[in-house]
Amino acid sequence: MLIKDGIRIDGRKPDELRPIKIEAGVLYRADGSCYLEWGGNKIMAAVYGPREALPRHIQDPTKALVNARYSMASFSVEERKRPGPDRRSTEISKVTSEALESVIFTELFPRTTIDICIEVLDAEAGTRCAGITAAAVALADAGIPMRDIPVACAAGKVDGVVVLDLTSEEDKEGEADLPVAIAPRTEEILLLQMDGHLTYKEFEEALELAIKGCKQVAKLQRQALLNKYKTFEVK
Amino acid sequence: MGRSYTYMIKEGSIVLPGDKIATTEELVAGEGTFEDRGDIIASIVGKFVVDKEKMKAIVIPTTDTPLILKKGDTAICEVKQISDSLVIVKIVHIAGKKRQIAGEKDAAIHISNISNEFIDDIGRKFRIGDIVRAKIIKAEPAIQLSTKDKRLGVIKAFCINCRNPLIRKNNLLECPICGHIEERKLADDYGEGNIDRVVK
Repeated sequence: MLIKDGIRIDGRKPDELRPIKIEAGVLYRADGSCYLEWGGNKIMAAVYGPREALPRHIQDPTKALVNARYSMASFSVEERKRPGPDRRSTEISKVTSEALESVIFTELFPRTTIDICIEVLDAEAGTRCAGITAAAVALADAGIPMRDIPVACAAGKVDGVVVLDLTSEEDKEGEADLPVAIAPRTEEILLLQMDGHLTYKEFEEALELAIKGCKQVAKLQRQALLNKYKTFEVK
Repeated sequence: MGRSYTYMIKEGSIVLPGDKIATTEELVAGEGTFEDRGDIIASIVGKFVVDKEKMKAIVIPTTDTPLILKKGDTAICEVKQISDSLVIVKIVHIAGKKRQIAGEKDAAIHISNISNEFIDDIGRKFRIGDIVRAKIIKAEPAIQLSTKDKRLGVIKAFCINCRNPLIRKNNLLECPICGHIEERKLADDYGEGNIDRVVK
């Protein structure tokens, strides 16, 4: 029993998000950075570049490369995680790079690379969505021109109910998980993955719910950037 | 004229990437903005201003921005190759900037841009491995540099025999180990390591 009288295991309603805290520009040496807390997730994102892509043969003379690296700290999960890239983080790095690349004006910086490091310090389900959300704020903080600030949020199905933003118990015991990343202005979908089973109707309901969740998170991203830059004088 | 006009967003306010600023009927998309289906949209975090002369929407960044080389920048470079009329260098730093350079780093100093005097032998002005402060005089299509100023020129050089850093003796350089004497186009603060000194 994960849902009782319409209330979930952590006391939320089906369409409610976990508490989120976003802070932009927290690292001195990175070109752009962001710290994000999303429920039990703690994530640090740093952006470097655009800088010269090395070795030279990987350079693209028409555009910049976007290279995101998702990595989990060894202390981010209950059992110690063996550090370093594995199948899961390689996949997440790839889908994150592609989601972010589609909003960046890469053609302005030929022969360069934009490196994005997403470090999961503490994990509690939905780290890829939290990672993309944090990386987007870090990119804006780095002053990299973008079409929009991408944002991600997951929906899923637990005990036959379509719910927003799963916790780790719901993720493990639930029937489906659907992470979605969008560009909030156009509602363009940048990432869509699904784990588990949903009927066509449930899928549509979950997608709509995830997009609604994304828009709520987008407001927090904007607030984080405005908090840092509204008092800044133009250089 | 003279009346203030209200766009979608008030002039002078802070905008974020993806914010609609105005429509293409009102303004032209300038720096920090782009056009999408008839709207002008911000692409960076910054302050929205209007260039009244060109009716252009501009977003002036409030964040740090990617470092793109432009005319007038003071560059710190390393000499890579020397030919009869050209010195090929790699730009490693821009004075006063923290970020790494985005894009092409290779640049050239033509013999005519080294100094105001007549140069007989380019090898007596620069040597491979020298660290040079130079000014960007042309950024497109290829980067051209100049050292025609007493503040510009070699700021660190190494002995051609033993690769030890050379020490300044009047207008010449001397190796403290082997005593070799060398000539260069020197900057007036040779050996002081002022990599962030901006030459206007």
